[in-house]
Amino acid sequence: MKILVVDDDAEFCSAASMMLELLGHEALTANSLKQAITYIDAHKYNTSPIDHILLDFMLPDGSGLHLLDALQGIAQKPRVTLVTGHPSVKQMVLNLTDDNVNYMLKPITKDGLEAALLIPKRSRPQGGDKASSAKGGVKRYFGCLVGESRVMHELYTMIERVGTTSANVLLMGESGAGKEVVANAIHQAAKTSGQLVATNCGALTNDLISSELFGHEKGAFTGAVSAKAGVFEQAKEGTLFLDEVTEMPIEHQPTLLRALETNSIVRVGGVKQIPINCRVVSATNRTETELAEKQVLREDIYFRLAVFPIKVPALRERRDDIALLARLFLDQLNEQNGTQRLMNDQQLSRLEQYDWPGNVRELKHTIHRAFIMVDPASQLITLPDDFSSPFSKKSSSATNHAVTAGNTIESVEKELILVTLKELKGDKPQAAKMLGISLKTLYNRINKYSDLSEFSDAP
Amino acid sequence: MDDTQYISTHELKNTIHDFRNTLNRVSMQAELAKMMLNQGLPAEKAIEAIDKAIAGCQKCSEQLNDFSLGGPQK
Repeated sequence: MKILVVDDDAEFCSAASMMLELLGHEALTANSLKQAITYIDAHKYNTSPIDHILLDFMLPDGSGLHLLDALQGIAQKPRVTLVTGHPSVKQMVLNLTDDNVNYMLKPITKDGLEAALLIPKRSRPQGGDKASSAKGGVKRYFGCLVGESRVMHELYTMIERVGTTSANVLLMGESGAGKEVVANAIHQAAKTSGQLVATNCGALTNDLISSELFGHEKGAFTGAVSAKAGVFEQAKEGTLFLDEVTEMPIEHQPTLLRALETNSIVRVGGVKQIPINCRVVSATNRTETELAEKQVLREDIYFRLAVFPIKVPALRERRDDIALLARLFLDQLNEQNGTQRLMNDQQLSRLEQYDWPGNVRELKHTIHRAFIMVDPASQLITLPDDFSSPFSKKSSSATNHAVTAGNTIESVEKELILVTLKELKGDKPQAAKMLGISLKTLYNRINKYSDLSEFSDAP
Repeated sequence: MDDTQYISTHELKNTIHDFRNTLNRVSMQAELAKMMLNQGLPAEKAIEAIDKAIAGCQKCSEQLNDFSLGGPQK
């Protein structure tokens, strides 16, 4: 388990994290509320989220209870153990309706720590059928993927096919498109006995990367107080998900290649060859062109990892799913908060017209923000006037379609129609909808501008 | 007037909180040393933890001494 220890007493944090590591867990420490919230935010959408928090009541910048508020709305909410010297806290915890919270009285003992960390195992969805569940009327493919668009059905077919093999998969797609969810779907489709183990190669420092991937022996380096299995070993007979694989320093890639070629690893500081037996699903948000031009991934590694490459579609390539996803996120928020907030067709239409450069993640955040800004009288969520974020501005300026002074209205109109049609792969009804004009007007413009003749239906 | 009446309830709570924290440190370091030895870690690591436990006992003794004299000595 990944456990966050939050206490302003540095010695307590150090001792608690050592005890946790000796019990086989991974420990992080935070000395203030602010630092703890930063950690939680950073791990919120991580494929390896924080599982448990040991929380002190009195922190220099607020009460530990504020952290419980900050955890609301997190899909995989960590369990919390309030650590206190006051027996009176017991009643307070009993008064909390949240089953996710328990308490531990000081002084802390090994047995007390183990008891506090006992959590019921999350049950894994059974079966690898495409339509494995339909909670709330929304069909979840492989227990986790949502979407009924054509591109998503193509993706489901690929997952189903590759799931029955042991081929390594490279997922390519923009940030926020749901690569980690697809990795989970592949794992579900594989019906293996092992578990899905995820690590973010971009978040590992040069010093830690070998230890994280291959594990280490006791005493291998300063701080290696006990032997630790790496992610390759942990994913035995399961799936290893290497997120942001292209961010791994190039000098470490030969070691990874060797592990993939020989199907065995050697722990840092060890000599014994340990056999590995897992499928590697890796992910990158870089395009194929970037992979080739920027040389962020060695060619030999690419061919080992990308036996079966899969492109995860951006949200704008599956606009038909936007309404479905928006309703799903709103339903989830209503369920979590015991509310009945609503969204009207006009709002859904606005959501469908936006480009979502941050993809599903951005849509989810937008719905959450709109949920908070509810109109109290009508219980209708309030969407912002402008969806754009600093990243969407960056994204749009990165394209070569910026309007500059000196352009005629005609040339801008032509360019806009061209870009829209290209983006939608020539889907004219959809393009007309996005441009806010009738289909007839769109045909008139295509006929008017010779540059758009490739989209003309005329022979 | 009894000496203890000079200590307000608030101060007393703070003092008890400080005692508890020190005792917790001692207890945790002792537990840590035990775990290290049980798992066959180098003795130096366990000794380090035991030294911290001893330091905690000394700190606790100082706190008790201060308390008996009516508060921390400047």
